[in-house]
Amino acid sequence: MEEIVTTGMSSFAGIGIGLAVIGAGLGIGKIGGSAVEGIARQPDAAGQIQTAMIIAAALIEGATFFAIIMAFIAG
Amino acid sequence: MNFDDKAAQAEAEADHADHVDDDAVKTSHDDHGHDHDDHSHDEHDHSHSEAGHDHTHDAHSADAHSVEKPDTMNGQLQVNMDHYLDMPHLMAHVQDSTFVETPAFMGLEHTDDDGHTHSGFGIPNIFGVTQPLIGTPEKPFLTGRLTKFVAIELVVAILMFVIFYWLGQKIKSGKKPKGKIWNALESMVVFIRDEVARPAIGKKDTDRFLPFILTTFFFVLGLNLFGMIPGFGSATGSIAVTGVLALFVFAVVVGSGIKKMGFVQFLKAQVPTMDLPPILKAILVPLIFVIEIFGMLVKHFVLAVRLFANMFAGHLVLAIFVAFIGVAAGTGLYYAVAPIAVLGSIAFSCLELFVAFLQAYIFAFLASLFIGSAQHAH
Repeated sequence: MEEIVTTGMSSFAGIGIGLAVIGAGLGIGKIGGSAVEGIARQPDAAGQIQTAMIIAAALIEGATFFAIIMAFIAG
Repeated sequence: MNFDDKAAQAEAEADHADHVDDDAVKTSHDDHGHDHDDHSHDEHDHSHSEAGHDHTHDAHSADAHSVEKPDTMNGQLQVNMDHYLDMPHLMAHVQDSTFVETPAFMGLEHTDDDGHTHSGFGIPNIFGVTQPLIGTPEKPFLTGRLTKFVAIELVVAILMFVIFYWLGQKIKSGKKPKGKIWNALESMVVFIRDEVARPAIGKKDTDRFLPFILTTFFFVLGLNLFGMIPGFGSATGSIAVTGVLALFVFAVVVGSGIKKMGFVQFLKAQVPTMDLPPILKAILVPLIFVIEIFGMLVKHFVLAVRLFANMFAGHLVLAIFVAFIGVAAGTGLYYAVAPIAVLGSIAFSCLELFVAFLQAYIFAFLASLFIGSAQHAH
């Protein structure tokens, strides 16, 4: 049987990173959905809605990246 | 044997004497993520592999045949992965260093203080630092030596001064903006003033804080963009740099709040006024006060961490993308993985460009938000 290729990282770090990304995906997905819905209701406000969406997504991503980096370092 | 290599490959190998180091692993791996042009050159560099190969043999023949080539593809993959997807090695590409790495074809060589040789040029030790300022030589905490990130910060600061002094003179002359650079700069400055600072701080007080917010925005933007240049990195990828920037924001927020209201009143302003019976007030007000103070500290800390993590993680992922080329080297997978990795790293770099602007904007936006909330009591 051929050897399995392994990385030097522990699998717990991988699980942690996956969980963090699940949280980010859900959160940013919800933001994107609400933003698109808002634009559909009021196309005039598209610019402001888009700006607010990007800001909220960046804030969530900040927390996610924090979790990912900690998982990298600890894993 | 199939490989295309550069002399830098041998350079990087000599750097990691404890890693497997042999002909089968020689690939086009070089700078992670900062060398797109070079990787596209690599596709055409097969013809140069002989010349490059001879050079590497001459320079590092001692390491050339230290390990046998593994039999199976998985064995070769494992060997490559241990060498290239080695976390300290990857992080060293994203973190601060005392030299700027250049592609091997430029032929520069540099030996750093530890005796390792790299392809690149070193940042001169202008203060002549031999002993760390804080910490021991084994575990230095603050060396005081001029490093790549500090040099980049100085370059960005000088560039900013030159560009905005020029812009200031143009504005002072009172003429209408003409030409691309003038219009672009002025539109960015006006954007920060009208869309970021004024809504958050209010029309009256903005002019006092506008220089600080503009400086923060353009400084962070400049540092982020320097990370797109091959060989250099983004200095905001270091928690020390972003920590100090957030510390300055904290100082401005608290300082301006105290100056406006006085120290005691500033503390009192953290807790919103509530109509409560005295017994509830005695319990809730200290509680809310502690939460608000803690919240203020955490908000500024997260400001630093957000910027740091975005830049660091972005460049680390880019490094991993490009490391995949090295991982697939010497196996049949290489011809599938290498083009995809090059295209993927180009696409990811476009995302990195967007993130550079976005994170600078977010930093300035949150800074103005915090300043605004400190100026107007709850």
